[in-house]
Amino acid sequence: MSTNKQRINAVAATAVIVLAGGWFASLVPSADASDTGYAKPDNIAPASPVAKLQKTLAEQVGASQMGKHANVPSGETIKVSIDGIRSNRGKIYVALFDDAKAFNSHDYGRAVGFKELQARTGSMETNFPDLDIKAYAISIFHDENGNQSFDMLDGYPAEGYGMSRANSAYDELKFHQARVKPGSVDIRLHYLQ
Amino acid sequence: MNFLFESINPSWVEYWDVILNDWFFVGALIFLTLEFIRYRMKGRLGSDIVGDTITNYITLAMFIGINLLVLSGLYYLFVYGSQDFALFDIDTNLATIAICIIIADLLYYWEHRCMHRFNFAWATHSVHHSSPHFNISVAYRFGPMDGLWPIFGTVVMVLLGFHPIIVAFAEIVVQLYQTALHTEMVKKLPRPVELIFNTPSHHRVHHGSNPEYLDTNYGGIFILWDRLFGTFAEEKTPVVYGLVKPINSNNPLVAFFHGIYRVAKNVIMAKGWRNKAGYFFGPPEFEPVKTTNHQSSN
Ligand SMILES: [Zn+2]
Repeated sequence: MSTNKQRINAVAATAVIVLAGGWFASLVPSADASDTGYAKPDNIAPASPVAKLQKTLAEQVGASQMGKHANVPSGETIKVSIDGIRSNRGKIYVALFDDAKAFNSHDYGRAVGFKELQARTGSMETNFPDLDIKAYAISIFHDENGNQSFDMLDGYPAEGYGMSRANSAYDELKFHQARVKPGSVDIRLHYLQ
Repeated sequence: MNFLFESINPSWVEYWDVILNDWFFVGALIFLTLEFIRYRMKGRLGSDIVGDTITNYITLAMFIGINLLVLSGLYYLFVYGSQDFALFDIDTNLATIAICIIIADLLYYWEHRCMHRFNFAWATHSVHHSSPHFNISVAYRFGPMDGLWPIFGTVVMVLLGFHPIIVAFAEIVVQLYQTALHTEMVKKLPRPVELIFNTPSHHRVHHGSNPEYLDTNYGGIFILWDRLFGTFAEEKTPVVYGLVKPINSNNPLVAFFHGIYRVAKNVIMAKGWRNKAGYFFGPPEFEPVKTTNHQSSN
């Protein structure tokens, strides 16, 4: 029979293992993004053992690619095709991100590329030239009322929006899910209102 | 090493789930045939074992029916409700799937331990333990509400940020590993394996009604959790399988509903709210407090 003290210790240990596990999993770099600096080892406090392991993982994974094209701009282009624009009113803002945190928190100030287009019904195209070979994510919104902000109503978008690799209006993608490499990207705008 | 971190599309994993589950079931049937040959050679093959095996698969059919009709909707609601509150941004690749399996296994340990220590959950899990035999068909013997309790672990993992399909996959891996342990044909595995992993030997102990084996070896894949948390017992004396109070029946309806019937009867017949609560929330060995004794006691 276990004592109450044993039970409390066991529950506490479990909570720590579960949380640390989730956190550690979030640090695991993905192969196609690790050569991008997505998981820059120097972003993480160097003292923790996890950071050290993380650093070794990143080095092992990135070593082969990093040597070849370590963040040297290689003149790659992302061609964004925007579909489903419903009106000529206002502007369309296209933001390009290379940072997971900035993308996930919709922090447009930290976008690495930004385009302001006069809206045109139907489809439009825009290019982001001079990029590295690495993973990016794109977020678009249609500012129909021209107030230069993405309006929300009751927690839902009140203006048209779209993300790279989204399949439906309700896909709220995180950076790793919205990731695209330089090349052509089709993004459809969704209007809930 | 690169393949460990290559992003995997979750819908692929969904496909593995189905393949894994179905082929495991086929493999288990083949293994069961071997176990029956062994029973035959030992002169133990009788109508009792055959009846028990058929009952096991009938409870499985009823369990799946309840899961599809009632519990799947609940899972859908809770999983998609909690997805928005994910704590971490976790990619899907072999490394993160491995981490998810370890977490799923630890959460399974607690789910399983709780199912043994709270009467309302023991009411359903006791079905699995009510067979007096131990072969792979017993692994498919389920109680009516067995599909409900994993929901807590599922929600925890989705809240951490694992994709729901990866969570389901991790839970299936733990479940299938557990399934493979239900056999008498494997005696003991090499020492290091018995030290770290759950094995048929450890799981036989878990199914024992011997007093020294009660409430031990809850682990799924790793027996380390039991060793760490003080619930481990080593297989020494021969295991007597089944319940402390056996059901003595191969009737599938008796097997499937006996736990709920016993708990409901105890709660209804008990005098006073304290006893009723004890029969519902207390452990299986709960004994009613004497009505003349007004002191609070446990
Ligand atoms: Zn059990």
